[in-house]
Amino acid sequence: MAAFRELVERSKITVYRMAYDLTGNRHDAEDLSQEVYVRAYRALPGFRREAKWSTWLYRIMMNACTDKWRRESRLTIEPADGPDDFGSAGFDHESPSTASPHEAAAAGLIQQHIDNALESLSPRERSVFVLRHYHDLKLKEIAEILQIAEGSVKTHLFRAIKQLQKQLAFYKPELGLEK
Amino acid sequence: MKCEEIQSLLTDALYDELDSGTRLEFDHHLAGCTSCASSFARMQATLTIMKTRERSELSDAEWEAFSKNLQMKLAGPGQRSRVHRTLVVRPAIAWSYGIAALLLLAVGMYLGRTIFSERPLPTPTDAVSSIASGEPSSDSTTQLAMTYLERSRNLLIGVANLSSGNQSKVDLSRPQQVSRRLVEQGNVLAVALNKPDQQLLRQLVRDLQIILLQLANMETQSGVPVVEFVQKGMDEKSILLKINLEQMRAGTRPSSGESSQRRSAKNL
Repeated sequence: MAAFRELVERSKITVYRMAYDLTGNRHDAEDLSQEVYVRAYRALPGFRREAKWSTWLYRIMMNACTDKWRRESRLTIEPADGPDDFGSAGFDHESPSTASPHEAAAAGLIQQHIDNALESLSPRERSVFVLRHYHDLKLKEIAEILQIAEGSVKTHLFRAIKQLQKQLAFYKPELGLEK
Repeated sequence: MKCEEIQSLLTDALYDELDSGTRLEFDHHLAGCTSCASSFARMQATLTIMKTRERSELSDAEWEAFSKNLQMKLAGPGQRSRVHRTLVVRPAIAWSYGIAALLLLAVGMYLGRTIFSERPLPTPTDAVSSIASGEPSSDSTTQLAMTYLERSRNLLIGVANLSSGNQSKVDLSRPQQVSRRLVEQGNVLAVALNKPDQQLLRQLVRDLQIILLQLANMETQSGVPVVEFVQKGMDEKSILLKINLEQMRAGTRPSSGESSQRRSAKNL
C-alpha cells in the first residue's frame, strides 16, 4: 500500500491533467483520476514488470474514460451531480489573474472556444489529440495505449485537426490566413 | 509529387515523421503550390491556437483532499463520512470556502449593479438583493443565470424570426449591441457558476457565448446569412431545448411553447 501511495504521489499531477484534458472540467477530472487509481490498485497484481508503468496507467485511464463516455452517451442530458464527499464544490474557484478585466475576458473567450472545439471531437479523436499534443506522446506510444494501429492514430489525428480547424475557423484573420 | 500525395503526407509532415528525402520533396511541392501550402499552414495555425489552451490546476488543499479521498476509496467503504468531517474543519479548506463565498458575493453584486440593472427582469433584482443581504448561495447565481438565459433566448429567437420578415432590410445593429453585452455578462457569469451541480448551466452559458459572439461580429449589411447562421448555431447545440430544460430545472420556466416565443421576439 505504501509503495502504491508513492506511485500515486509521483503520477497524480500527470494523471489529473490527462483526465482534465479528456473530460474538460475539474469535477469530472478528479472523479476520473480517482477511478483510474482505484482500478490500478485492483489490477496491480496483474501488472507485468516488462510493461511501462505510465503506459499501463494511461491504458487504464483510457478504459475508464471510454466507460464514462459510454455511460454519458446513454443519457441525453445528465442529471446534475451533487458535491462529492470531500466537498470539491467549495474549491472550484478560478486562478487569480493580473490581467485587466478586458484582457481576462478576451483570454477567457479564447479558452472557451478551444474547449468547445475539443468537445466537438469524437472520443477517439479527442483521446489521440490529447495524448499527442498535451502529453507529448509519440504516435507509437499512443497506438500502444489505445491498442490500435499507428496508421489509425494518424488518421484520427488528421480528422481531429481538420475538425478543430473548422471549429476555430473564425480565428483565421488573427493568424493571417484569411484570403 | 502530386497534390493528392501531398495531402496524404500532411499529418506525417506536421509531426516530423517524414524521412529526409520525402521531406525535401514535400517542401519543394509546397514552395510551388499555394493550395497545398495553404492547407498545411491552416493545420499548423490550428495547432498554434490549440497550444494556448490552459488547464485549471488543483491547489495544495485540493490535492490533500484528493489524496485523502483516494485513500478512503482504496481502504474500502465506511470511512468516508469521518474523514469528510475532518476535512471540513481544516483551516485551509475553511479559507477556500470563505474566499469562494466572497467571490460569489462580489460577482453577484457586480452583475446586479452594472449589467442587469439596465434592463431589469423579474428575477435578477430578487437574486441580487438576496446576495447583497449577506446570503450568498448557488441559488442566487442560478437565478442570475436564468435571467441571462432568458435574455439570450429572447435575442436569438428574435434574430431567428427575422428570416420570416423583410429580409432585404434587416437591421442587426441593436441585436448585435445586446449580443456584445451578453457575451461580456457571460464571462462574469461563467466564473460564478463554479459548483459541480452548475456544470451543465455553465456549459450552456459558454455555448450561448459562442453564438452570441459570432452574431456580434457578423457583417451588419448582410442580414440573411446572419439569421441563418444563428439558426444553425441554435439547432446544432439544441440551445432552446437546453434553455427550456434548465429553466424547468430551476422552476423559472415562464410559460410554454409558442406564446412565450412570440413574446420573446417582441421583447427585442
